Amino acid sequence: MTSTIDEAAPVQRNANRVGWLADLGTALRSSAVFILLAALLLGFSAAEPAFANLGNLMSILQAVAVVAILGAGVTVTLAVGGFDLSIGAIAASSVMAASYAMIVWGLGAIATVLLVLAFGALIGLVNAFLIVRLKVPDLLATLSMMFLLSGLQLIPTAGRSISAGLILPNGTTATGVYDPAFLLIGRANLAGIVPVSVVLMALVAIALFVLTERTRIGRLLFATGGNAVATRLAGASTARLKMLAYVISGTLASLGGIVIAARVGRGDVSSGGSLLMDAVAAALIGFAVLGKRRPNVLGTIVGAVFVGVLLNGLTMLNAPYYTQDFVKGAVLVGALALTYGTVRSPSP
Amino acid sequence: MTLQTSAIEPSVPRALIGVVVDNALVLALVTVFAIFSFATPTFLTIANLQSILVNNFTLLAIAAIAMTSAVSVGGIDLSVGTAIDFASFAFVSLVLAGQPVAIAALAGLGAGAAVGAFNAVLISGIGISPFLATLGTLFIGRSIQQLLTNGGNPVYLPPSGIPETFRFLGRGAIGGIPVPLIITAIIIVAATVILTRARFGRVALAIGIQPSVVRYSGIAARIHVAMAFILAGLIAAVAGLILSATVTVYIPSSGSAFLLNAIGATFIGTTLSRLGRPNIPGTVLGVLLLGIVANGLLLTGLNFYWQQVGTGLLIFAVLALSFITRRKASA
Repeated sequence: MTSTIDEAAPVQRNANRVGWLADLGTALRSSAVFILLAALLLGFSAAEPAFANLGNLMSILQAVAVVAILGAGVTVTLAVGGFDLSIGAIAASSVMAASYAMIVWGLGAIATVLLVLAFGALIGLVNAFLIVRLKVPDLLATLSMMFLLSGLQLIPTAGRSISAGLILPNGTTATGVYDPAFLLIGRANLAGIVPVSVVLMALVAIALFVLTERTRIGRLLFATGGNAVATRLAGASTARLKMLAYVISGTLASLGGIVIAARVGRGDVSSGGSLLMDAVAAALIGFAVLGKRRPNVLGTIVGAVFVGVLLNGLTMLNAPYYTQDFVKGAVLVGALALTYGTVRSPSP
Repeated sequence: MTLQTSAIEPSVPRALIGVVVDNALVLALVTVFAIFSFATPTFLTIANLQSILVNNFTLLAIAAIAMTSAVSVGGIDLSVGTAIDFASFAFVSLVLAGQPVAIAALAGLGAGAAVGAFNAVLISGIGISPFLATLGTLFIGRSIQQLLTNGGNPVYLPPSGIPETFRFLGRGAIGGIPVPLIITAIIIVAATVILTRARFGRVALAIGIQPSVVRYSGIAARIHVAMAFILAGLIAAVAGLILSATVTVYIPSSGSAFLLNAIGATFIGTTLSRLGRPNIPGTVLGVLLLGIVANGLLLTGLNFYWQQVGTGLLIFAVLALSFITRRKASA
């Protein structure tokens, strides 16, 4: 798809419009999401005192952790000008794989985590192979991967959810249980306050922020998305860069799946339903953060948190659950309008 | 992705590969058809082939043609399902309220076109890229439907209160041919003519291939992009009308079930056709391929989730084959 990333080159179109007014406008636009976030936090705290309590703020972060982790992966694939539609399915099948590994094979926490992460990386590698070597278009390759995984994940258990005492298709009963150490990933709090999943989210955010914004590889990733031919002519292996992006995306999706499995404590066949759209939305809202107009990891995390704060606050104010999608859509469109609307770029 | 088959030397193997590449989609279709004809006794029967056309083809074909309209200008429309739903909601609600079917159908088409117009404003007016804009429409549309139906309650038509024309649209037949199939055929022909014979279609495809050239030629690309998305909404609305007339109920967000298959069919058609760009015949063959596989897998008695695996594997296999042979042909 060419349509998504043609904005990757940040062009300073305002440069000739001199004056402090323009500077102020730019500053306002780049910090608009933060200003809105602050306004939301203040507004919700005023309307509902329970909102501002530390426990609730942590539960917001915990709720967005999975979306933020997947969104960070989306950011990297967007950076190379690709798109990974299979992340939701990878996360969902990772939930099943983790449950299967522990309950049917009786593996421990560490072996399970490593196995599932390897599974995610492998799927990312297959995606990359299809896209880079066979030159299948990104959307199409990852779309078929999505179909494939959402069917395959049901086959080992014949469509049943996995919990302790599962009866296998061959009639025997599975003997394993969820490793208590594994469950800590989703349920424990560090120092009694910070959930482990939030720590994971922060680690992923920092690692990917450094990778994409502070290293040569990161610059090459964005260069690949901006102009793959020029990047290749400049001596970088765009094939390897794309491969790296899809492997990161797949691994992070399986990490998201691990967090879900550890929180839920069973392999639910229907988990991961709206993850894809939510993660993509977070990455796209991130375009507006800091006025970057391109995928960026920090923006993605802020985008995920922004939506999380909004949904949590509205829920506390007794808004019906079905306003949630409306809020997500409105935030997404608003953020996009903020990113593109004020600049008259020669659009399609 | 342009193929220069004429440049290939006329040695026999090369020529053969050229033929395979040029007709990859038709060959895939024939192969899949043959496999299922041998694998299951019931596949190759008149009744089943009719069932494929009515149940596995019509609605998806219309949705995929709507998608092709958006893809032809270099975009994508993630909200085709939303347009289907809005049309279905307007149609069923107005019929329920006692309005004439014709008025209700027009309102349904208008609702679908309105979804397209909303996309057009975001894309051509504000300048948001199509993928992102229609994703926003998808979210907002899903929620509006839940707000309209108190959290997602279906709107049923009472069995006694279904007008004859309403039923006819979904279940009727003219000269033995089901009405939905006739409507689908009309849309296929109309869309083919618009995309290949009308000036609008040529400009649309040119925008999809090289937008800057179109702009420098002094053509208002924005207007054409906007029209392509409104057209997508309008065409999808027809699928909404047929869907609700067939099941005589409006179920919120049921249209999104068509989204991924519509994308799949459009891209199969784009990639596997000799043209290498969005085209209606390719899309229609893509829909047929997906429909035959879905129906055939059902008949083999496999579990329902094997259908998804089958669809995924099919797209993989067809694409991989196409890209490998294509590389050989151009080598």
